[in-house]
Amino acid sequence: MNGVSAGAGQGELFQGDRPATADCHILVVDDTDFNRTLIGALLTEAGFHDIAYAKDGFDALSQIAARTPDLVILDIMMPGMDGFEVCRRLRADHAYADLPVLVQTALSSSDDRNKAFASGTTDLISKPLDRAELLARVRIHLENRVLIRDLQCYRARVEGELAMARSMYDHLLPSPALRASLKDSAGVDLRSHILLSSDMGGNIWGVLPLDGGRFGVFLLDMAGRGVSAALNAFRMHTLIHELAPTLGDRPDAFLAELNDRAVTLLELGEHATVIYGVVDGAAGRFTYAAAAATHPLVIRPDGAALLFGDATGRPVGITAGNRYDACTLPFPPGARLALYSNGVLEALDGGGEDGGDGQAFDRNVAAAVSAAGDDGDAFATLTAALAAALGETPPDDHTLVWIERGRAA
Amino acid sequence: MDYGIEDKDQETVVRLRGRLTFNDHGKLRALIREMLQTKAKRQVLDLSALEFVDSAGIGMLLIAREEMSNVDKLLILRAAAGQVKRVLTVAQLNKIVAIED
Repeated sequence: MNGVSAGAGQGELFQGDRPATADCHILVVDDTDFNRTLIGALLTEAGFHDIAYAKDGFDALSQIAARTPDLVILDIMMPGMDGFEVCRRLRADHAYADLPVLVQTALSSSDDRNKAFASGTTDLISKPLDRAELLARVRIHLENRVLIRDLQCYRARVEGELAMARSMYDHLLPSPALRASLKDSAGVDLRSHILLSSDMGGNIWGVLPLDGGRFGVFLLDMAGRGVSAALNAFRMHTLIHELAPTLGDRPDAFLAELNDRAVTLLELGEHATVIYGVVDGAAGRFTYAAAAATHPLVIRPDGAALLFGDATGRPVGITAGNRYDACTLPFPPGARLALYSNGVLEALDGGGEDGGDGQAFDRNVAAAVSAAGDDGDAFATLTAALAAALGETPPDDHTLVWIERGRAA
Repeated sequence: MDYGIEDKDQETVVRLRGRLTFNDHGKLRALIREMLQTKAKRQVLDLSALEFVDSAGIGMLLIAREEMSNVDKLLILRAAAGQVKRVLTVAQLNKIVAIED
């Protein structure tokens, strides 16, 4: 390994039988020729072979700037710039914040030792040098260095891969262009609010344009969370788009077929709750089928009572041959339709004596909608209520899909 | 989630307490192993003190059902209340696993 910091994927701690620490680059800083030679000989004898030498503080800093060592062995008493100052300057530079610096010192008073630590020393080696002590301290700090670098590489790689996967996930969701085309063809505004409990999530939603100004909309909530749930959500997304051309306008048959295919695809313990429905503006209705989903909500114009649809049904992916019923909700001009994942229901279902059985959710949603007023932005008041209920770290994935019909028919 | 096991002649009763979620995967695996060790054919999960179950928790209950049925045991979910009862009802799990009040 040369002095260039290791890149992602270069995480080999051992090459053959030789520990990775043997290849580390060590800079020995001492104004006395004899001390430099002695330390160099001890390190070479112990198997270290990439050693450089500096004869004072200025020399040390310029060598470090040219090539960052893995460890610095530093003398304190030097003419010009002493070891304390070298330490302070290194620590002032973010690039060297975690560079291990071993200070060799004859200083025995605790004041001086504290001064060394205060200026940023990692550890002390007492003078006169003891071979065993020197090598033990060099090894332990190099091992830490190698382990931390290895973890940093691993972390950077995982973060990069998760960011890429997250962007793939974002691309599965309806694009602005698709939303604009639905505004034209079906006269609806589509909005959504998504909060994931980790980098990846098991919630996914989408729209399937149909003929006659109609379109299908689905919201799928994979059991579990994180990467494993996201992988399954990707598989289900593919299935849904395969079924769309043939079964897209029949929600009950759509779910039954999706379930049969999911059963062969998913392992035991993996399943999904799904709602799939068709928004038909001309007929003024939303026809859907549900598999253990949350009740779809219709907010009618002019302050009429909220409508919650039934969403009972066997989750998708457990047993083959399930039948699902088609249900219908009115969806007149000016109405809003909300689909939401189970996480949203749980989050807004707290408080009150009936918390936990869904009653509190209905009440909390009604309160948020009436707070917005008939022409107000109920989507905004709902997402605000959700954010307030969840705090900083949501315990589950949350998706709220909001479909708003213009008043003009 | 916490649990206590009571081994009777006719049935093993496991009382689950607290919240059964994604994080309890290891614990439920251990519980399933314990249940497989007991003699009774009827393996009852008493859910009366279980406050909350998420979708991953439901998945684990289905795994337990399968593991019991593989060795000719019967898993029974008993006395679910509140959120747990609602989730079991919405998912119509009574057709897949035995549910008692």
